[in-house]
Amino acid sequence: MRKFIAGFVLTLAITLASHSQTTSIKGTVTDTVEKKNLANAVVTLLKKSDSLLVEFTRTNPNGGFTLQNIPVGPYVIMITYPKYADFADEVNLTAEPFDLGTIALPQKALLLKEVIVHNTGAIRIKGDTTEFVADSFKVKEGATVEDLLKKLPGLSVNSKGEITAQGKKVDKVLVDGEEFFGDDPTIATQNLSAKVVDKVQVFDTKTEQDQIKGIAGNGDSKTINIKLKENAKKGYFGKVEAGSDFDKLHNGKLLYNNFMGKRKISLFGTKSNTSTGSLGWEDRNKLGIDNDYEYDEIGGYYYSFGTNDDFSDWGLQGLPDAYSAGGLYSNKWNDDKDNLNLAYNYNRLGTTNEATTLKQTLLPDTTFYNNENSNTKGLKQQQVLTGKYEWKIDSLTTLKISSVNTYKTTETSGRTHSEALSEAREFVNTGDRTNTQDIAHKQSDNQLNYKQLFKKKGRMLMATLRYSAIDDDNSGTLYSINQFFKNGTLDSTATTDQYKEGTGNSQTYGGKVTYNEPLSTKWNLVTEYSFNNNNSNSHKNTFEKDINDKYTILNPLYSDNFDLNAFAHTGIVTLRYLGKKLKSVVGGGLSAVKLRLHDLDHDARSEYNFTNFTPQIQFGYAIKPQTNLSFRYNGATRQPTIDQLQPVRNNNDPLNVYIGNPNLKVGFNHNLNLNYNSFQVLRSRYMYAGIGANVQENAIANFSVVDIYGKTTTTPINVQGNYTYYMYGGWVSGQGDKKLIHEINTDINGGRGVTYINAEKSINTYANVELNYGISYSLQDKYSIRIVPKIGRNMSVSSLRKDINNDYWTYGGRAEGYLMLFWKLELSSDVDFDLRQQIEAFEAASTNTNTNIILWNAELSRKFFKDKSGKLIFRANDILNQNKGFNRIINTNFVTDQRYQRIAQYFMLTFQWTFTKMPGQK
Amino acid sequence: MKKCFLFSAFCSLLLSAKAQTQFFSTVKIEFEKTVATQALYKEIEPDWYERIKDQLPKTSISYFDFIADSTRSVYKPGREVATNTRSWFQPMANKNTVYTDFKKNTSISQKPIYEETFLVEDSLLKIKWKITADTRNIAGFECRKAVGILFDTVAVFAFYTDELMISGGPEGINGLPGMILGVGIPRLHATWFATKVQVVDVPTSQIQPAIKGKKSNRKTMLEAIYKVMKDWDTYGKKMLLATQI
Repeated sequence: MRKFIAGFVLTLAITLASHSQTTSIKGTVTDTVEKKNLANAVVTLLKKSDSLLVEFTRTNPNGGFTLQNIPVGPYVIMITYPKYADFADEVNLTAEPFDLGTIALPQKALLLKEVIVHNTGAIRIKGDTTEFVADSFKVKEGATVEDLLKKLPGLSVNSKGEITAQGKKVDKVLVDGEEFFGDDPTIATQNLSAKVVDKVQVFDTKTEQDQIKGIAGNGDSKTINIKLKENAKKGYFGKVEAGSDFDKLHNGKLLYNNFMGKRKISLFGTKSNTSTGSLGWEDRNKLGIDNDYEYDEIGGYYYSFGTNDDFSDWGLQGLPDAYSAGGLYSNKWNDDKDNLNLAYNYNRLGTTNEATTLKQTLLPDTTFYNNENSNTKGLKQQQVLTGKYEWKIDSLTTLKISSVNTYKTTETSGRTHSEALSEAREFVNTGDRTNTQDIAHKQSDNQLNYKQLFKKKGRMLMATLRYSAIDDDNSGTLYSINQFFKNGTLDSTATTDQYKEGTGNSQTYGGKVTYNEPLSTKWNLVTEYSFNNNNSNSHKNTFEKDINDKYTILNPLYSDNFDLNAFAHTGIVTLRYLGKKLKSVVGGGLSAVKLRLHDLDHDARSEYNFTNFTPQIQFGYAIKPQTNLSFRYNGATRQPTIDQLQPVRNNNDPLNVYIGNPNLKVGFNHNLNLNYNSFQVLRSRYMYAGIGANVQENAIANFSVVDIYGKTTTTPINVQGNYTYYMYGGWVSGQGDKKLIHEINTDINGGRGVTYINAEKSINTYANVELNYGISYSLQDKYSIRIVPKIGRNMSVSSLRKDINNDYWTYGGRAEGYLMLFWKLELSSDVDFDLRQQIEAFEAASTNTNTNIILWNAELSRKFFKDKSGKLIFRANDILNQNKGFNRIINTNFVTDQRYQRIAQYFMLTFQWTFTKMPGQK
Repeated sequence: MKKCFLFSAFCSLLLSAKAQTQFFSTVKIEFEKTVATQALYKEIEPDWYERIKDQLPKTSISYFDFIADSTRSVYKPGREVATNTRSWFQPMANKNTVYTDFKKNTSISQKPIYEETFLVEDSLLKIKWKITADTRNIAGFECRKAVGILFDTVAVFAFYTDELMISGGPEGINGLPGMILGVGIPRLHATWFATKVQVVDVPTSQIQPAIKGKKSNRKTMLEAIYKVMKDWDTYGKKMLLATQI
């Protein structure tokens, strides 16, 4: 009964006061020596059972005090006065008012409890924490923590695994201050090996525990914290996945990650017939692969490099047969001062693809139609070895070495049939060509970074040295037969049979020094100097057959051999302002680039000198928290590429030949962007809008000549008046369960481009507008639905053929849903509607012009096992069997519809199993 | 110079002689709030913490002024310190103004939380205090340690002095027999310690409640922010607590 009352009082001490019988206590406080009454002394009444503060008052000028309305019961009364010893005594208050009488406080005497610190090696007592050094207590091999606890003085464990420490029940067991898999203390004690324990700490659940984790206690009980040895922090994570349609498609995945302290080892392997097999973000993150983050010291932000696009699912065309494997080792030691990262990655992607391209060519006096069918087969393989080592020499100095080494081979072969039709749909030309190509690419990039901080806050010096080497080796064949027609009847036939080989070498070394000087707390001046020297050679030779049917006759028209040296110095000065609301960057860079080209075929030397200028201005203004307005201007010189400058012919497609132009001028790009975003957190409302433009001076455009046989020869020239612009905006509102969430997004982009076709200037202006509206509703773990309809309009006009209208509508959108069914079955489904209005120009061109795609997927899954580590998934992909790859490009003179193969309808059963063992788990 | 030394020695003599008997009921205190940024971040985002710890400051410091007479007090943002605006760490609930009326047992707190500024009028926080025998000197005052439990789960460590006759403390922490000059809330990895205590020329006219903000009480404010922060995991829990003290 007593216990009941005590517990009750503990939680409801204040409210109780008004309900039960009350009493009062009074007294007087004096000084022992001078017998003077002490005013303003603090009189505190504590609950006896748990020393909880109940009431306090101060003595009046005469040293007297009265505490009224005190519930009856046992208390401790404490009287304190500065520089005097505390008075504390037990009082049992009954209904009778209590008179404590006169209490005399002695000066300076100490009644304080001492804090005892024993240090016997095996046991330490700090305040109310008792710490045991685990290795001091012998346990047998294979013993659990429970066995260890039994050996510790003052601790006992009963048959049920319940622990008593210092006479009190242990209700919490923490591992390294963390709660170990829920509330059951035995999970930790019976599964952890005693060997991995460094220290065992025992303390009061109600006080010290809150200090560590902030969890409430529920009575007078103890907590045990098991501190693990650093090298015992080991565990692993893994995932196995296998899927098949029991016919042609087989997917498999194996991930394994093992960690011990700070050492991590990860291994993975995948096989896929439905994707490139590249690991998704989540898997990469779990394996610790995704740590390619770099910190921009000057700008103060993180950035990461994009992954290699060759093996990403985004660019995938055709049907894949993909394998990947890799491993990662990382370790930190010496107080994290040394950090090593090694990774190896292998990708193998085989694809087969059937593609169709429909092209409309707009000429001033007529219109051409080009239809093309191709069958291609490709095999890409890549091995990448990456190493990174970081050494923090002291708190101000860091040295970093990194190296990325790539070996990539690509084998492709393809057959293409093309036909060009006149406006009257008569044959202009037809072509059949077979290409094969083998490419081997080796690349090594190495970097040494040195960072020095100084005593002055913000001052920083960074230096980087780079060395990279590239080695290319290509070979290929081209066999093509082209037939040319006049007025619909065959006029001539041309056959090309060539063998091409190419080698290239490139070596680059460079250095960069950046110095940041803080001018004040808000202003920083950044200066940077860099140089870059590149030496390369390129040999491209095309051979034709001799009488012995061997490719020995060099065709100089399609051959090119040169050495190139490119040397650049760059200086950049930037002034940065970092205020509370305003952030600004103003600066610019100037670089001198010298290209020295040695044409080996003609022993001709040419030299190009470019001066590049890159001004930049940025403003960011925080209108209020979570609402920002920013403006950015970047200017950059655009120098022509060496392919654009070199007058060599590229005839991989004999109907489309490209010849470089050595007279190209340097262009200049102006880039402007204004951006606004606002996030109202509590209202869950997000708004964003932006507008931007890119204006190009001396843009490089194509000067094309199409002859009467429909053969195009293209040369790059400088043009004026090219620009692009964009606008975007959106609004999202709502958050949480059982609430309607709305979103609106709009996207507008357009531009103007100039090209020359048959020496006539063609100005193409275009604009695309898209608007979507989304609505969603959900209840967590029960159901969710989201519908996003969209509509768009694509418009373009060519000055050469204003009479042709290629404007069209796109509409459709997306719908997705999730439903938790009976028997723990989960059903999810999504549909993408991609509907396009047909372009007038294509209506009669081909029989297969349906460009509408409705892609509908559904998945039924169920989790298995107690810990839900197993999952069985039945996936129906592209239920309507409509998944065609589709691209539409509207260019200055061309409108192109491109279709390619993509994995379409399939039904697959997949089983997933994840396994985990966390630190210390047995 | 020598004169100056003598004068200050005299002053301190005077003060120490007086300190035995003198109690103050008006006071201006500067509190230094220190958040152990790294420890807090480590708890909220352990994976990300490993990556960015070199860029995180160990602590984040801000200042608050506490002005009180015997019946009322105000706690408000004090002098500004240059902070690293680049830092990833965003301080939580660092702009609160708390007005307390000890007689009426009520407080009016202005709490800017994201786009909303709440003006919370409610009774004082009820903290279950346990008094300990430990003492510690803070800003020249002998303080006694008390351990409190707030909302039945949150541990609060406080040091209070009998010599300042105000039952207040930083933010809404209150309820001890004397003025709280030091507070630690482990769950927020935050401490508040008095760095300056001024007992003469106290600008008591500044003890005024803030008036701007959306009128609410503790419950309605909690309802307004809980629906958003409940999905934020550890960060949301800490944020909720930071707004409630």
